[in-house]
Amino acid sequence: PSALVGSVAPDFELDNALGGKTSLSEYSGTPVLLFFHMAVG
Amino acid sequence: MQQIVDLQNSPEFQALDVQVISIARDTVEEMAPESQVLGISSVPILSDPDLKVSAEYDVLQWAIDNGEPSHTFVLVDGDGQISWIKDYGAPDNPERTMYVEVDELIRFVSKNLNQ
Repeated sequence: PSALVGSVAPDFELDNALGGKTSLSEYSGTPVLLFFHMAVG
Repeated sequence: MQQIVDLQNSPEFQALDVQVISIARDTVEEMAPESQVLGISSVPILSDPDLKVSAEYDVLQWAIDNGEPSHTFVLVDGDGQISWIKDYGAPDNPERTMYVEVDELIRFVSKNLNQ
């Protein structure tokens, strides 16, 4: 049809094409909309 | 990438005070030029080359044929809890789409953040 709703979001740190690295924890206290999508290249 | 551009540039979405983060399998070298051309500046464009984060968020259950995420949104509230997940691009989804109108996303986000 996810069962993850209601659980704690796993933290991560990934390379950012705009520069540097970005982690979810950077936005602690702010709602975040993660958008997972197919490759653009 | 148009989805990201439209979210970034929507005043109505900005009013929600929700940070958008894009995650795809491409390398940063592959994504940087297009991000620059499209004027993406406030949405982190993250590279998940081994799909580890995609797997942690369980979005690969809707993967396209080559194993990449399709078109899935995961809303994390201010307390760090996942409050909403919806996939739009799974191959077996009869209403499959790779673009979601910003108004629809605003409705879902507002509803699930009780705004």
